[in-house]
Amino acid sequence: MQDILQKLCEAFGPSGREAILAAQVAEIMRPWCDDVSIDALWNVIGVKQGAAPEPRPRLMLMAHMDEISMMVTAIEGPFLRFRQRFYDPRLLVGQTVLVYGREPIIGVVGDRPPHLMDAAERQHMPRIDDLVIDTGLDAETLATWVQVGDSVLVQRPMLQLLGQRVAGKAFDNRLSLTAVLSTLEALQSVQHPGDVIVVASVGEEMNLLGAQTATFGLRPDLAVVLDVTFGKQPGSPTTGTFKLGSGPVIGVGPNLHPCITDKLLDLCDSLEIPHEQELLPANSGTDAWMVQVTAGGVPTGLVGMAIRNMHSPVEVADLRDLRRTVRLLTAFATAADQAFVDDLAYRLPDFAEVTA
Amino acid sequence: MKTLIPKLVDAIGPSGFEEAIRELIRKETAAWADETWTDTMGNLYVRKAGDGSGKRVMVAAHMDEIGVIVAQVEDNGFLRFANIGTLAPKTLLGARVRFANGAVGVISHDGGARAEIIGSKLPDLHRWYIDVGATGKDDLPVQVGDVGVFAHPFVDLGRRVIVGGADNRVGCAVAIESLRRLQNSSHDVIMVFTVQEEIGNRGARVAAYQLHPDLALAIDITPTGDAPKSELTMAVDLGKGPAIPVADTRMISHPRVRQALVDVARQHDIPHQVFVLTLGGTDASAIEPARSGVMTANLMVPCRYVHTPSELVDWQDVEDSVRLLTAFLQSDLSQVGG
Amino acid sequence: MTALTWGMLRQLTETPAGPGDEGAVRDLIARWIQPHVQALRIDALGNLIAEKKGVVAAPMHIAVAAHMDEVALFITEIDEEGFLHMASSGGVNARTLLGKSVQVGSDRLPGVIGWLPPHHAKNSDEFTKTPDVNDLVVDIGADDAKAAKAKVKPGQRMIFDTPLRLLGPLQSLNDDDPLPAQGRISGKAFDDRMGCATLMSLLLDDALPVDITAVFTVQEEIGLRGALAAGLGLQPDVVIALEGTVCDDLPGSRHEKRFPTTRLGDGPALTQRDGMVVVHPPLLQHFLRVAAAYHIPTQFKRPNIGGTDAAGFARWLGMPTGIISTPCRYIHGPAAVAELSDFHAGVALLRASLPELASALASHSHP
Repeated sequence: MQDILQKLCEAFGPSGREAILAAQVAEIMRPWCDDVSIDALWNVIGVKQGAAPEPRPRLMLMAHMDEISMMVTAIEGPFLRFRQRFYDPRLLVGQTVLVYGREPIIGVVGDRPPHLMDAAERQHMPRIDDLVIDTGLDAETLATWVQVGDSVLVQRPMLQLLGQRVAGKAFDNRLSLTAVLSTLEALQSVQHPGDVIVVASVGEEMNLLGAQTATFGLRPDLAVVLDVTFGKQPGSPTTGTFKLGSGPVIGVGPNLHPCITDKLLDLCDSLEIPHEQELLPANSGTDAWMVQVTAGGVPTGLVGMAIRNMHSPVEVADLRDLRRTVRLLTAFATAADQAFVDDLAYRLPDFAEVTA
Repeated sequence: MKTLIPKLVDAIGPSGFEEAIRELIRKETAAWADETWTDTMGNLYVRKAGDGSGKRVMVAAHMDEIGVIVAQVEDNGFLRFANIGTLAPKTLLGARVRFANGAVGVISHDGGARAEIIGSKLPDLHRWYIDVGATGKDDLPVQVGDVGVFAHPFVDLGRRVIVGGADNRVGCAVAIESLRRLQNSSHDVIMVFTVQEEIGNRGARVAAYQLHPDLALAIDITPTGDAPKSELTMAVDLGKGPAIPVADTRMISHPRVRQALVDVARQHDIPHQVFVLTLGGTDASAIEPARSGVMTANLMVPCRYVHTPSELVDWQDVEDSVRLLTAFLQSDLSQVGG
Repeated sequence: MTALTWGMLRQLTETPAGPGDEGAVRDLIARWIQPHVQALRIDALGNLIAEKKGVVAAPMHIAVAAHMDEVALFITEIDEEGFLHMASSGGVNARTLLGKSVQVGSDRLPGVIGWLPPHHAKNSDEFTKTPDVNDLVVDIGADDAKAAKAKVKPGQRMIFDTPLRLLGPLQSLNDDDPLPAQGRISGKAFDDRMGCATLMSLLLDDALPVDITAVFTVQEEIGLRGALAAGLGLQPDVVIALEGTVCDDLPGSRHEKRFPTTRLGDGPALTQRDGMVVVHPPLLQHFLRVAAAYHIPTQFKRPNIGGTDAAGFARWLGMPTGIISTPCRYIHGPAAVAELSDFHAGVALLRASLPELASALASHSHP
């Protein structure tokens, strides 16, 4: 499980550039699926058939595989200008980065030495427009390696911290993807009634693209979306944040079907899986927001895992959460039979009752 | 094109009220189309059939433009209005508005006399008004619900042209001219002149859902990064050829479609600029998520002073955009997939 | 005239239905309309869909939609003292929350939103600051967390508990009384139970001119989500959305030029264009023609304000949409105000628009 996480989180997969990662994910899925395909936008779709006779319920497990990134916007002599979305730009100062040009090249996002700054300047972080990437190459050579539009990622191998904790980039959302893939593995030795359709979706960080298109094509009977959520850390809000190692975080709110939410919570209780609830009054901010309303509507659940320092190159996760999430998803896939799917339908009231 | 573009910018078509521009484009494309139709929103589809061996390609150029809608008539004949699309207040003071019936008005705002002469802070849109020269309600040539666009004096500067309404009548012109030049394409090409782009890409989304093409291109104009002290870090200059964005703020162009555009440009020695659009987006972001997804990229004509009544483009960029689009649609796109 | 009684409108507005939790209102509506419609079902998202036969079959598929949900408070946490912490589900007007009472969860448990005594304010500036919803709590009288958790759980909705009233001199109406032809009413959830009431009036009418599909949608307040799903699910040819909409015809500050969104008592509001759709011009013209022919007062809603289920339905299919709204002051707060004559005129306009609707659209299709 940790091997998969390491391989995935160190891979290259910015939004809109998922082709290479898609091939890697498909490779991991293949031994555990009856069919694996990659669509035109690079959603990876793996199907593991269920044991029940057809028509079987079709459960979609979705985790997005794209990651936040930077992009070269201009080449200025030996330096690269870049744009970023969803990073705190302050995190980028001093980072070592990989520029994915003709081949990956190393660069540094530098800063002026503090000796040359007056007191006022030291108090202010540089703006993104003031930063450049220094690849060490001269202008002429740089222009042969790099083009405007090339992707840039922070260079960051996964780190093993104390105990069960690990740190790295792109845990959002490769941690969830690892859980989904490991669930596929676990299902090899467990009977599950319905088809389990695993989707590594694209473009979540941009516009929830894969969640829309993959769901539209598949039209599953029900879905569980996996995404990371906020870990507790110094300075974080007291609500909506979760202690690392406290288990999977089950989403609760209008974006999710109450029966799926209840089922996930019940399974946690009966299997004695520690867990938390994330209360979501409207948009969950995940693929689930699109999945639920696509193609006439899909009953959807949401399972999260807490990470610290989200959208930084040093996201921190707890592997216990990952293992528990796999147990929960495996149990859910086993429990998602036709009777459960039938119960997801909203019912009309009993018209025999006396009405006002 | 020097006759086509002035005709296109002369037709009124604020978002949601594209009838005049649609009928003009229908007329301008009729002789070259195998099939033409519209949908309930008013998108115009112009199809040139392929030989059956190629792909189904959607080319989207929005034909709507920003404008105003009259919201309230005051007793003294002044018109309060709401925006259609995004209006920058700085471009409004003293600007002229044309209505479908020919009425023309000038825009100012409450207590605007000082601002008109020496400049001052600009108020919110609800404090602006249009003066159509009426003395009261009785001689008012327009009424609540009427829509107008900004007056567009067209000036040919030789190499370049001031063409208010370049967004996106220049894009429409590129699509129309390319359709006229298109020969022996194996692809089933459907040019869609879309509605309501300026208010949320609403027409393109519906068109993409209905067509569900193999791949799509959105044709639009892009702001440039070459004006003095431009704060846009964008590698796109006026006069250096059609611009091919890698990404905008809403989507990433599909790499294979984008690469195919670049490859075609290289093969035909057409100057082009690959860049990152750091402000706004286009119809492409609405086309891409349709049904199971559409591989989508953009082809853009560089343009200065976007969304002012004096947009400025380079003739050679326009011509090269036509050449690139035509060559793309005549190229073998089998390596693109989809 | 509507067949709706005072009691039906009362129950319709008083019943709680936060986004995603519309079951109570859905059941209420389903029971009332079931004897009057030919088919009734609920889709995957919870939209209630009714097929109603008219005197003649409609030549096109006409959908009329109103949303069942209302803005709500959403329990995020139960603290050690048994207070309920909350977030807003849909755009609750935070300035209206202090000192109000709410009904909590499906058991409709009473609770109050308290606030510190003014004596504790550090300075008078505090009185001008809108409190953050996250800083407010609901007090249900629980001794501690255990007592509170025995009754409520996180994720439940908390909704204002305002009863429906006729404003003006105190008078009591019986549930069986017909809705008065005019008068100002006050209550909660007018956005969009006024729309639901308009749609129900059509369904209870056993001489409806043409067939319609009625869609009572879910989750409008958090992003038109029921309509998004129903648009592709039903694929109607035309959609008319019914709303209880913004009304701000209040005296403004002296220097500000007034420019109200709608005015109470001027009749149902017709939308030309809101923040999300351009109303199909031939449909708007049709409404105006019918209003003139039947002497029904109407007004235009100020353009560009808000968005409705019409946009959700039309997102992928772009079918023609129209929007008819009952102006309602103070929506998204505990006590809205509407004028019954506006409501009745809206019902009349909608009903009278149905017979010629299809031909009005057909004659204006883009050739």
